[in-house]
Amino acid sequence: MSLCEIRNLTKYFGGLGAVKEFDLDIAESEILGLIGPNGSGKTTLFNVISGVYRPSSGSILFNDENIVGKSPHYICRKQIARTFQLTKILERLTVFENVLVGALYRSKNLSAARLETKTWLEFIGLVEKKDLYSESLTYSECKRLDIARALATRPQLLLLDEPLGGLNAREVLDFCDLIKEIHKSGVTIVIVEHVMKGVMSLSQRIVVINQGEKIAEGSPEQVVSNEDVIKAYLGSAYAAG
Amino acid sequence: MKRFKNTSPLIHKFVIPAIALIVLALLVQRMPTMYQHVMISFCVGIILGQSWNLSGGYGGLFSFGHAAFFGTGAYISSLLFVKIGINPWIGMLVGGAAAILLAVFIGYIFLRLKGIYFAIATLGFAEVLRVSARNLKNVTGGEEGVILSKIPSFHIFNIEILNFSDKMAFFYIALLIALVLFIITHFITNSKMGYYLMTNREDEEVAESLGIDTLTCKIFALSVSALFTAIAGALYSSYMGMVAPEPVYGHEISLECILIVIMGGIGTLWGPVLGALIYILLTEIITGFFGEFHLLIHGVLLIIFIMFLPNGAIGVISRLFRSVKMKEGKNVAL
Repeated sequence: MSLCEIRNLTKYFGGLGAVKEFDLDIAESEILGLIGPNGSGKTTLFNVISGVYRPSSGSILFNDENIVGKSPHYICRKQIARTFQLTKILERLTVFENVLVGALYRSKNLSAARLETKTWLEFIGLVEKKDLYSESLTYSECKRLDIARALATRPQLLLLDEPLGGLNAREVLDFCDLIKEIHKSGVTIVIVEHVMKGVMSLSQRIVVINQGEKIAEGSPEQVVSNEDVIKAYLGSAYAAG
Repeated sequence: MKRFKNTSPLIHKFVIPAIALIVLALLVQRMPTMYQHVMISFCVGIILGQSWNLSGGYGGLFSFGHAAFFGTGAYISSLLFVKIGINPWIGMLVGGAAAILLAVFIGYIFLRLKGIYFAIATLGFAEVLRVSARNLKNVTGGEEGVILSKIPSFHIFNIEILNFSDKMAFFYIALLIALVLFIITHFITNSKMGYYLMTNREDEEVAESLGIDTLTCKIFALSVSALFTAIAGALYSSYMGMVAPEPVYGHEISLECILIVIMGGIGTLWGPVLGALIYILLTEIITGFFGEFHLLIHGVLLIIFIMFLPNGAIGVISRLFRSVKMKEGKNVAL
């Protein structure tokens, strides 16, 4: 059974169709890679699923409930969490508080949330930095923090928007391990990514989107050898190499 | 053993402040009336600042129209007293309730606006109320407003508790309200709601993505803020013995709320207390020297604080503390 069923999803910005008649099934506890050129509608799709944008038409069934048109906080409460392409760390709150605010809604009270925050900080590896502000964090630490905050809402489905972007080779490996570990704990993950090496090794299934439409779907190997995908996104050099 | 362990924070938290407050009240009682007046303004300043701080400092709702709530509290309590003879201290609560309704109403509409647009909308709304109060002569008495004749003293079992021909009665009430608001703010900021508000202030999109119903939180903050601003308004009008559009619905009140918070330290618990102290003292001095030009100087001060001391007096103090601590740390290291 699929966790999330997207049917005929369309989002227009004025005359521009950012996502057009998009169908997608997200199976329970898979890692799904979503790739495509810049401006192809990947982030728009995330924003529609997480409730930031209201789609022009179509439906999104999550656990058999249509969540189209619901507010972002409602969707979060239904256990869909997301991270942001440009990490949005709350600057005037400490690292600890940044995770804490994620844990708050589901916790009975502040002290329960504090306990939970501790475990997430341990999991993500930021315990020693818990009293610092984001200005003294490295870029990759900010990205970790963003993920920890999203995890603290205890999602079933986690939408990761370019978690590997801007990281060096070593950090990419670390993050891949981290994402696998999150996946092992039972979270379904959809990952938008440009770092091919990362997304190919992580994903069990890949969906390619171009100009708002799905052009390919399948295992990483199938997608890489697909002609349309090579033409639209990967380029012939990738296929050859 | 356990009981002993708990006593020390209890003393810190309640006994010492209580003694300090009693000493303060006794001191004020012996002051000449002019200084008593300053102390009452100081307490009203704390209420105004802390109210604005709750919605503006913690919640990030930059209202430029808190006079709307202040004036509503002032008018409702005064008119109820003058027209129907309801005691202003009950009218104060009615005014507070009306301000909450007002906050929910304008919150529901205006809180969809962000930042500066919200500020402009609230500024405009306060103006609408001011002009209405001026023109609804039958109800509000127009530009001259309404004079409150002698407020009956407050009795419990025929014993006179508060006599309102004495300034001290107003001081006690103002101090009590300021204290209650301070405690409420302390509890809100140390609760889930406090963190919800701060998250919303920092980034609304993030707050929503974490399951926080931002609109409800903002309306809550604005309502509590409106309630206490209105109570301050009712207190002010019964203290001054009159209510008129300019003093209670004018920009000056809205500006005072903001200035106190900016001067003291925005989004901090003690900021408005310190800010009120600075503001009231400065106002006394500036009005003494420059008379009607004090508004101009307030505006300049606002700019100076925002540009050079964005964290207010609290920011300066904490920076001093930190540098002292750093020096101590270095000495230890050496």
